[in-house]
Amino acid sequence: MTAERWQRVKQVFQSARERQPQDRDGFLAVETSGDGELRREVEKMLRYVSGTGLLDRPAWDGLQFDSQLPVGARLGPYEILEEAGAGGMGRVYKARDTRLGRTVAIKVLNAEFSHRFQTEARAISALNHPHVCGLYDIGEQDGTAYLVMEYVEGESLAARLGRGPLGVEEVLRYGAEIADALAAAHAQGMVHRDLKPANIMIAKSGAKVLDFGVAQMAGGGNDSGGAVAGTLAYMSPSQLNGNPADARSDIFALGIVLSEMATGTHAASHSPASLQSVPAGLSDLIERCLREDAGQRVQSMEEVRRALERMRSEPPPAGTRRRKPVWAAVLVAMAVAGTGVTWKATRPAAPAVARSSPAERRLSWEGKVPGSGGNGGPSTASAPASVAAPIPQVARPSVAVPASHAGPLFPAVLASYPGLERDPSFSPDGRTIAFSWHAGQGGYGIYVRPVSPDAQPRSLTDGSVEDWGPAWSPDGRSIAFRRGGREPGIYRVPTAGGPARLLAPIAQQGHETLPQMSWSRDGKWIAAPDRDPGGGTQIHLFPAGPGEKRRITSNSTGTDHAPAFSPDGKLLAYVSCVAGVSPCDVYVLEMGPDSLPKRQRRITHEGIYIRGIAWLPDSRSLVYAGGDRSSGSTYLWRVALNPPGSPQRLDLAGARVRHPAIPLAGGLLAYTNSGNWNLMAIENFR
Amino acid sequence: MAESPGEVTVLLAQMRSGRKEALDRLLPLVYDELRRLAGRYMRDERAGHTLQPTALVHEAFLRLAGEDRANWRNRAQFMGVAGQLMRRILVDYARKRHAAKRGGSLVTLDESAAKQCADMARPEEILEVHLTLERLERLDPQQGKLVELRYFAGLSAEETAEAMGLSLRAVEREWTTAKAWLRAQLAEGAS
Repeated sequence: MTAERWQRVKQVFQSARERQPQDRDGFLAVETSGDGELRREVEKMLRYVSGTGLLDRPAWDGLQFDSQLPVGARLGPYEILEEAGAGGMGRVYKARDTRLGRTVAIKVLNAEFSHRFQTEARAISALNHPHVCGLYDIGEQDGTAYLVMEYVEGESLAARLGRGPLGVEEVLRYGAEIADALAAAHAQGMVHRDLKPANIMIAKSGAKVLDFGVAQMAGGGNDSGGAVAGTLAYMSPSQLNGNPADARSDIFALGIVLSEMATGTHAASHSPASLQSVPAGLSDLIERCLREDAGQRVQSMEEVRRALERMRSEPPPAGTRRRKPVWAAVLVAMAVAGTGVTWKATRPAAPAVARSSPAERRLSWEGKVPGSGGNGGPSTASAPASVAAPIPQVARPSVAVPASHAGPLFPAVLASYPGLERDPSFSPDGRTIAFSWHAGQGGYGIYVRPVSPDAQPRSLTDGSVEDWGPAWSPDGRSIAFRRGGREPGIYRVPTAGGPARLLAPIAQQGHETLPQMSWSRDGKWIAAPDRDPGGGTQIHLFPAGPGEKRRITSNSTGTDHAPAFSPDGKLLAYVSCVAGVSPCDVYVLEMGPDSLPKRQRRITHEGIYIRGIAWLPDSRSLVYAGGDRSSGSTYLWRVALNPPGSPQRLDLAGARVRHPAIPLAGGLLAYTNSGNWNLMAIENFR
Repeated sequence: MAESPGEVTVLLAQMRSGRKEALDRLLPLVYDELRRLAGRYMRDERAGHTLQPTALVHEAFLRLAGEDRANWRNRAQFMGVAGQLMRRILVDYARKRHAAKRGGSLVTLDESAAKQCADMARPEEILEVHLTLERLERLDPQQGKLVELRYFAGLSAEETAEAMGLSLRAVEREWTTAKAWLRAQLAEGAS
């Protein structure tokens, strides 16, 4: 076709289009008379002109890109220095934190793996461990979500193994460190699932485990689509068969890593001869890690760690070279390995091992049918009310399944969204919860939602800064919260929606968030901690309207925080810490008219780390989250004030409890699980 | 990213005054920015946000040229450049994906099968539209530009009219024509 011819086609086509369909034939007959070719061309176009289809969507609608950040690009305050590695799931960059001048590692996941990003952020943030590569920050810019992590100066174990085997002392040291990191993860119900030399960095300070990208809460059913993820060469036989990974899969993978460290070659290429140089204790341990039947394997990572530590501390007896090891089973297991590709296959979504875990349970109130609970259904009204009694534990199928899910009371998931949820708070009528949620982008925002887990959360703040610790006004119409960032302060927002208003500025918070605040029953005051210029933090009453704040506790060196007005409004409980944020105890202020404190009473004498207080409806006892700061274990405790009693630990909620909350009418206890940053709830809590 | 927000403005002005090297300097700037933004929009879509393709080009312009300098003349000119570049970006991308499907070398096992099925149709469509459009634009360069803006850059009819200096009615008429011809060609082949 020539350009002139096309102009003619176009002109006839456009003129025909402007006519009514019934007139077109006549028009075309005249216009194209004697030119059948022209008529066919125009008629063909007319057939395709109507309707929808090709070209209606912009070309790039539905496509996915993997974009590489150039050197010098900025992600928030981070400046990209170089690409440090790219994998199937995303890219890792070496970057500089321009505020602190330190070098960091930034991980950007490809869009299709962004769900894993959330898992990874949760996993690492729950694990503050010297041998886990630490998480500094999570951020989002222009739709690029990223993790900011500790930059580990050193080389990967894979690179190190390229130069040959490690000495026995190094194998034991790094092995024990890796086992320690994984034992900590397992203790939190988390399985790494992709342990391999490429995911282990060797730094001056020792081994660092990276890439919890495919980590999963064991038994949590978190993996979408029933796909198996991991690296083929390090997968246990059970994983290869499509069974869900549990802690024992990590043990298997560590067994391979240990043997690789000791021999310098992947276990698949081992000949028994190459292993004879491995000391007997170590090769025994490796063999027990690699048993094909998971039931015959070492059963806990902690046990592996202890065994390695023991070998480290005992010099090997002279001349112990091992008898021929029992490598047959190992070699069978290895036979499938070797390609090193990331392998993913589909399997039926149903887990092969029948078990239930808190993560799988659903709340059952408001007529909701309990979810896939498995054995030991959810509690009913007839459940025993005593919570102080020890909760019987069932035999656990693996070390990675959180304890205490078969007792009369058990935690159910109240909110498990992408990102981090915290600071639950019930509305005065107990029907709505407010909480703080970091959805992986921006900062924490305040959200409200009917208590029913099926309801959708509604955002009250834009989440561009850090909003924590929602507290309801007694009329349920407002929520006070604490905002960090550039304008730290106590803010107030209508629950029906609307702009947030600054009630009073507060000092910049320290390293620890002190989210808990409480609204007085008369609605006039909001109790919240604030720091004085000398560094001490005291409880202040901030007026809900105009007026001056009032300091009601004195603490010049430590921190008073977590104020909680009792349901009857007569008492204000709070946490007082001697130095910094630990050790602490619970105190109660008796409040006189107009919230003037009359008397102070010390309730506990434990000297522990405390993260939040909630009252029982009768205003005669309270619960608090307390434990050990260095390990991060915080349990739920209950203590009676009237008559006074000593605190009792309630193991039912596990060791990652923060921010307990109980509605005025009682019956339910919500808290933040600081292991996975989900909101949990215990029904029939009395 | 442009070295300064004004750099693109200056380059666009130089282009108008006929300096050929200005385009050579402008293209990589815009190309990088569009690629980066495209990646961002893809992620947004995965996160469940509504994809607004046109926003990409606008935003690229604002970022590169600086908001207060965004006069309509620059803008129209920039849209033209952006449309051309979006086409190049998408065709490169589609070729890679296409090659991956045919050769199998680039498809890693960890991309789920379902995902691939959903995604593979588009790269082929993009390549076919691109190749067929090459025939059309030899006959009618204005049609080529229009399809670049509407299909590859995702501009609305109004935005396309502004960028091409045509009336809205003319854009709609030309777009209908181009679509009809391209669809007919792709469905039935050349006659």
